Amino acid sequence: MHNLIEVQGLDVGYELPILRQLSFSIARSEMLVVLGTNGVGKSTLMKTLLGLLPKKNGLMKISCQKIALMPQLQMIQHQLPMTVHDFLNLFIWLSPQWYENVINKLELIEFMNIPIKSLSCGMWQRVNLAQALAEQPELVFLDEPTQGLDVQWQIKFYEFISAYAAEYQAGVCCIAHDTLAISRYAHKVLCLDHQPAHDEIIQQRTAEEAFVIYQHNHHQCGGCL
Amino acid sequence: MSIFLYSIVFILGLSLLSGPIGSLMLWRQMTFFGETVAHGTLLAFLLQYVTHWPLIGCMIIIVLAYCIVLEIFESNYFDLNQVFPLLSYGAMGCALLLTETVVRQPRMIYRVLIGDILLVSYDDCLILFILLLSTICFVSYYYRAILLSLFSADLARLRYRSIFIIRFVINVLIGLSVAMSVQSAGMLLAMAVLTIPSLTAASWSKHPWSMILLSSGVALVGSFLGFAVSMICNWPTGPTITVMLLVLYCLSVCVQYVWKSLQI
Repeated sequence: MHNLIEVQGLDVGYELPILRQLSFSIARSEMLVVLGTNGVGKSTLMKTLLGLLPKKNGLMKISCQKIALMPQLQMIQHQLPMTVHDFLNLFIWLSPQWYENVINKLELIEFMNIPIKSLSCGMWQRVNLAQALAEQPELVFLDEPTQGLDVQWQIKFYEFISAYAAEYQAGVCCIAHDTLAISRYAHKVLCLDHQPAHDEIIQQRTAEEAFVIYQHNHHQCGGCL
Repeated sequence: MSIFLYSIVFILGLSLLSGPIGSLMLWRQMTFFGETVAHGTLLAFLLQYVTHWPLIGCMIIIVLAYCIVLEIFESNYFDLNQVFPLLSYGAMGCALLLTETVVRQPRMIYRVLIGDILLVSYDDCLILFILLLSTICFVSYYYRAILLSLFSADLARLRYRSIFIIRFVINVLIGLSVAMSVQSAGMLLAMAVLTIPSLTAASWSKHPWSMILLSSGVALVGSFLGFAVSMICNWPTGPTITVMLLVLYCLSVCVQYVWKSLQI
């Protein structure tokens, strides 16, 4: 299977490495979920993969052109008058038909003329996802994408992104805290630190075929399974 | 009339400039940076007195120095709320002390603090309109990048690799606009002329570009009204323009309140 991203022995960090010897890959139509406690380095890893931070050591190979990011929720400036339509127009869309397709699937039609400062967290996350798909990316990075979404919309969200990945053969790298992502939608899990809450789900999933765990202890050098 | 010609042209240019610059300062929460530059203009006056260089050249040097220091601190993730007071009040304190003790020009302090629109020259107007044109062209060209950077620095960097340069140029444009505003409204009120119109326009606008246009409109009305009143009543121009803009803001708030009450 053609890998969109391959990482071997990667060290990431700022002045000193905070994660060492990471090795994993993401293929087309696969979703990799990155788990870890707060402050372990999940966002730092994502920034390094996106090229926003230089890698400290190791190999990193990205075999696609169109990469998109759905960043963590940012505080919306209350002095900035902007509608949802204005915000989505900041991005260069693949085509008008694609724009309508995404807006319809994310049920954003009725919110297009609403000021973004009056959106709820959940609605803002849907708008956030819409912008990430503007150019029909081959590799999508999602940083805590279901923050603020109710359970029904969390399911819809993951189903939408899984369907997108399957239909357009895109890879997805998702930082998530919720067990829903691992239990139903992830093909691979990168555990950056031990998390007892997820152990049972991971144990259940390891019985399934083609489910991969990358176990990594950030206090020591680790390897991949 | 010719005495007022340059003053009127200067007010026109500054009002048009306050639309994009004031809006940018509010969106990027850079009013404290603007105050810091305004306080630093006293250093520019001192530099001009000592070196006899053109005032605008001295202002450009001071503004560039502040922008470079800001960029260094921002890139190293310093808390700017700690940096700005040092730059702002430290520069102002040193400059006031030097002006009083070494240069011994108390009138210069008054002129810098309050400003004097009647002293602007042809060169000042020319530089202001060059700055206005540059700002309009830059903001129009990088409109999407500027707005995107308000939401997520990572997203902006991913789509626009030159986002650091864009940010630096915006800081320079803001700094130069504040420096030009000092000439009319003085160091104490320079920021008022640039930001109060944008604050007034914010609650009436639905789109970023409409806020920019409306800010310029409010600035034009307030500035010319203030100028006219100051000429008739023989009041200092800078404070009069500021009070007029404040009156327009209060009127705007009242009108909105009444409008919303009637709708209910």
